Amino acid sequence: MEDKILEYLEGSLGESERAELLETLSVSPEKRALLEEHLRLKDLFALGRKPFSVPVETERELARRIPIIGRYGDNLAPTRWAFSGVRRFIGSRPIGVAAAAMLLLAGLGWYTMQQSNYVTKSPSITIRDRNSTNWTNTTGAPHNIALQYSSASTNFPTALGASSHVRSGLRNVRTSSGSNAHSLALLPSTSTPPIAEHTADETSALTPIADLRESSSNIPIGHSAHTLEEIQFGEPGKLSPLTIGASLILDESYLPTFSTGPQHTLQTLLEDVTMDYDLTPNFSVGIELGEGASSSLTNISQLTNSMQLTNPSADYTRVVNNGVVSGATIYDALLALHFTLFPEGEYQVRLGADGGTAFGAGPMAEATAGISRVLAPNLLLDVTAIASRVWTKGSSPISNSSAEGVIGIVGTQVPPQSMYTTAFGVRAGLRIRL
Amino acid sequence: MKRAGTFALVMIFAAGFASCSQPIGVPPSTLPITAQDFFWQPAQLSGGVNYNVVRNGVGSNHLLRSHDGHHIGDGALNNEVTMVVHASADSVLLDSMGVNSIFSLPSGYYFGADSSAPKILVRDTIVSDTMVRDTVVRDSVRKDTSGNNIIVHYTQIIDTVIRITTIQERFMPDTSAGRLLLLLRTAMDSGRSWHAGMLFGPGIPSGMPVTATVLDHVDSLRIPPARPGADSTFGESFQIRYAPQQPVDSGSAAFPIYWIAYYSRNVGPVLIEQYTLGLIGQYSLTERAQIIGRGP
Repeated sequence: MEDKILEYLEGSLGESERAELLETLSVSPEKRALLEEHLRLKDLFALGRKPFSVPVETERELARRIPIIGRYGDNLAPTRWAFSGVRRFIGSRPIGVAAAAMLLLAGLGWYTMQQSNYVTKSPSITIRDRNSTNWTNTTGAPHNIALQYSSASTNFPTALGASSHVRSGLRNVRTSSGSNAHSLALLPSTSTPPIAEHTADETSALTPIADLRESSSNIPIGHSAHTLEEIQFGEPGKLSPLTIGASLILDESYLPTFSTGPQHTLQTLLEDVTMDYDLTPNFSVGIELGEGASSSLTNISQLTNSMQLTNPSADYTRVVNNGVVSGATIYDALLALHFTLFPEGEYQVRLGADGGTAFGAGPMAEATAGISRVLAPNLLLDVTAIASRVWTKGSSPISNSSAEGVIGIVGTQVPPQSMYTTAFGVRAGLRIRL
Repeated sequence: MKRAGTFALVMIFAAGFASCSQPIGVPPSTLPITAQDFFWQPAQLSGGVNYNVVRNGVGSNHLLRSHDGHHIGDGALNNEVTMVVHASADSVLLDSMGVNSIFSLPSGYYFGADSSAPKILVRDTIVSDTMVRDTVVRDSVRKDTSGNNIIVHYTQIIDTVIRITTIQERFMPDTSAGRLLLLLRTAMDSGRSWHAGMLFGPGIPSGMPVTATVLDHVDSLRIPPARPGADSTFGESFQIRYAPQQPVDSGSAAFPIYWIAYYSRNVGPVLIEQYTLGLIGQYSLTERAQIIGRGP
């Protein structure tokens, strides 16, 4: 199983074997733990390969203590950009800084050891060309020369950026894996004979030497999956940020209630469509268009004439005012902000706050909290609890212009007032990543 | 931890959001009713209440005043006492009603007594508080200097208030002429009625019972003002009809006159209308007395 996991992480596993492995992992916590262990190892390995940036003062101090570093001179500067992001990352983390410093020191130590190895492993550099007449004395001023080793090449590295005409006809330089930096200063002193018997153009077969730091910065720092879902569906931040969805809402709205009357609720099945854009794996903005419930207050007047003894057209009008609260389904447009917890997981907790307008009513606000289930890399199932509120303005008082004579009024009109309708619901829907 | 805090904040926000339905305030319901609330108050009568009376097509102002709250004089009638009022929380009784004031009877008619007519029932609510002093002796046990238990007596006087609410029902013997029970608290509701008095006069020598019927009970009342600036909007009001009615099996014709009065809380009668049966067999408004406002 471990071999298969390793092959899987290397990407050498076939499609069917991959699916089989994922199936196995999904049902076996022990094997999943093994996978996660390898993922952690992979992370550690990737961390070890990460280049770091340290403050100039630190580098200068290191250069003072380890003179070989100072000989890079200006070459330090161009490499700084490669580490700036990492430096920001660890800048606020003292432990991270300490770890970076330790890694740097370890790297330097390793470098020093490699340098020693080079000298000891490549004695031919200074031995075979000792009597060259074209030798140029490079003692004194340091020259910026980088050597690159290739595990597949036996070419002797040539010098770049140096004024010296180093020639080399040597082909049997000892190679070493990895990268490192060197300087001509590593060569023996002025007593060291010149090494080149050939001009530079005669060394065209040699591999150009690149700055080792630059080379180091080119090492890809890839994202390591941390969960099975991340392996299956990909890194959250790398998925398409745009999603559209459609939902059904089982909604119960609580209409405003007269202090003298019973509670009235309105149960409806509503629909809405959503479009969200992920600004970060956790945070997204979007719009929602859908339906909601609002209520309105109206005064309804019923006019009747009082029946007198034998004269039905008596000069008296009786007006009965009834305040009526009615609910209605309205359309709304909302701006939505969503915060997703555990975006790398299969089940994501999604919290939202929406605000906008309910057409024909007034402002509308909504708060949501729910679970999103990642069905596929581009498909999510949302089950969300919703609390919403729609505000409406009160209606104007009605006139009883049709009343005549003496008017007896039963039930004073309810004064116009701002009202709100609170609703709770459960929304279920699908979202598709475009 | 931070995420949990965020989640908790959201939940708190949602909980505050979820105060369910909005309560909508409505105008308060009517207060408990007493008969006197819907009639002239003594303070009003001392200052005067002005009415505009239209009778036979001619209008005139009648300023009613009273110094004792019972005997009411009419300024249009040389301040003669035109009626005597007995008002209480349970009933308002009009006594000795004269002519040509705001309450008026056609010439030759009067409210009188009839032993055969139902008696007028008047209820009076009496609340009496009685202070009772009780002497209470309390004992306590103590030890004397020798360690023996001794009983010590304490005397204490405790005051107790006993409230007694009684409803006294009085059957007015109706032997005195001219009484009309205008308001009766226990019957002041839409559709309710009570026996208000006996009407005597030409054609009805043995009298005709007058029945008061509450036609309407409203939260507010608007009447066309008698003149610009006159009071026209009132609060809780009753519309009560006073109609002499023969028993159904009497075979007599209906009395040709009835009255409708509107009483408003804390004001009194604001409009009194007299309807008279016309030649074409329909009742029409023939007289009216309408409040104008407080006296000068």
